Amino acid sequence: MTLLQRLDGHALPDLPDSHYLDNRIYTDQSIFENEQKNILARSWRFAFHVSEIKQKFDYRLVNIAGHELVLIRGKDNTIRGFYNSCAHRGARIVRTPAGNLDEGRMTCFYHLWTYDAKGKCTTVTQPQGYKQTSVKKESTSLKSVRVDIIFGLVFVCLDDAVESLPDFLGEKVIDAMRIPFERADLEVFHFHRTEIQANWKLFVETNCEGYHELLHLLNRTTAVAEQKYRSRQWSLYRNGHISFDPAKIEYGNIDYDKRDANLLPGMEPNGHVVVNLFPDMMLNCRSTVVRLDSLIPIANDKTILECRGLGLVGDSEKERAMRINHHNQVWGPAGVNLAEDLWAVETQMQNMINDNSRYSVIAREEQGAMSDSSLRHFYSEWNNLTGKKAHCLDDSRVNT
Amino acid sequence: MSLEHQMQLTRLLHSSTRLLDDQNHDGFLQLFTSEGEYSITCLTPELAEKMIWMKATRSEIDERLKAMNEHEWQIAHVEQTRILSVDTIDIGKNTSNTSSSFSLYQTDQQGRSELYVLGRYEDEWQYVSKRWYLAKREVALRTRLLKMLSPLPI
Repeated sequence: MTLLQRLDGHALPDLPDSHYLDNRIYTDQSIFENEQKNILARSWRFAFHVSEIKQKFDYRLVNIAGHELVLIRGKDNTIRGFYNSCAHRGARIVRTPAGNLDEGRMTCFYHLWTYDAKGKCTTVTQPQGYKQTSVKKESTSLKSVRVDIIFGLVFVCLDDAVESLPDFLGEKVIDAMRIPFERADLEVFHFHRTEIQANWKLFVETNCEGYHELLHLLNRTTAVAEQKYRSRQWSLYRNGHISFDPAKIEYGNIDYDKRDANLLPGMEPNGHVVVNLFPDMMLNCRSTVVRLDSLIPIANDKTILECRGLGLVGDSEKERAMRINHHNQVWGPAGVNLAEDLWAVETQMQNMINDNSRYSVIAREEQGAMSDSSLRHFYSEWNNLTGKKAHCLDDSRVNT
Repeated sequence: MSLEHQMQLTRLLHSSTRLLDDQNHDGFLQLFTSEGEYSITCLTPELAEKMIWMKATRSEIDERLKAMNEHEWQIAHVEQTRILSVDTIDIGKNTSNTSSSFSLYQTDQQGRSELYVLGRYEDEWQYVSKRWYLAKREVALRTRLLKMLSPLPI
């Protein structure tokens, strides 16, 4: 007779390796450093939407894998990215989160070296002091990073060896993004950041599993209460990306406005589309409005969540007000759902830090919305990139 | 007369914070006209624009507050204390405007208190049946990176 292993969060679960996680992947500092190096710095990471820097010489600061970058729209309309660090002594060059460069020029405030929007040094102050050395403005520049854009979404990659953005995403993922991103001329109307006292992966998990929809009054009423919704499938793609098959939401179940007018091009009335790009970005569309989530992991127990809401360029005042309302009702900083997700992951993190919980179970195998296949897919890619085993940190080779 | 109005508005402003601190939501809503509007906004330097975080009528706020216990909102379980300073009161015949600075502190279950948000209440009042009612409250937040989100009035 086989004795059934008790599932208590502490004992090793009697499950296949792929179906549980060693919770130290969320709390261990060396794992976080490994992730920064092997995942967050070696993937194409979402920076912002093109509508956030519309004019030539507009810029935005972004944080990618712990590095502050400045992305600038050039005179030629090309968006370029650089480390926000002077080539001279490393002082921060651009010091406000967004703006427009006066005459397309950045000036380091420490010793007044200047750079143009292509990152080339245009002034080395008092150059005679370098006469006997190799320091010349002609051979000085800001360190550039790779930037690419798809459907108006600006991505950055710090590693020159990583495949191109289209290859990183793959044709199937790009196809899954076409509605609404290809057909709609979108712009950002909402941006906010929230500090999550939890590991970044815990928040990613809320965006790529349907089981926790039971947490949300909205979702358990308008979505999982419907049999048709529960059969919604996750599609898994190369490089850890996933999408949630399009579905319809029954807003009437909770007396919310139906999303059946002023739809984004290609979207069905009351439709819902979700695409998650590995490692940390979610594209989520509810018929009339788009939400983009991306993360800035700060430490193993601290993450900044950036949320954007997008509507159509050329919206009338009334249409825009409707989209803002639809966005805020569910997702905004005062929306009904986001606060619930954050509380859930923060309680997980507290228990994991205290070793009140050693193992997490990701074992749901049903076909449909509540399958954990999406989480297992994420961790399969995580294992590949970190060289670790998410289910067992004690028995891992080290990826240096 | 003007002094009386000023005193009434000041008293109502202070009571608006106390009613929220005490989770006396019915009392808070009764400060509003039947068509009253409530919004939370925040200036966002990344877009150089004022973001609307919440915009709701009195009845929409009422619905949300009534559903509060069906949601899992941490903020609903945290003790709150608002400190308010009335900055300006502009009294008209039937309408007035007030601007107040406030700080909102939270006390957790272990008894630790910390500042949650800073902001201003930008209020429009209507004089109806010898009493001032809130026609519009805009909570203009200065703090924009919150540790805990609030689907509830701030």
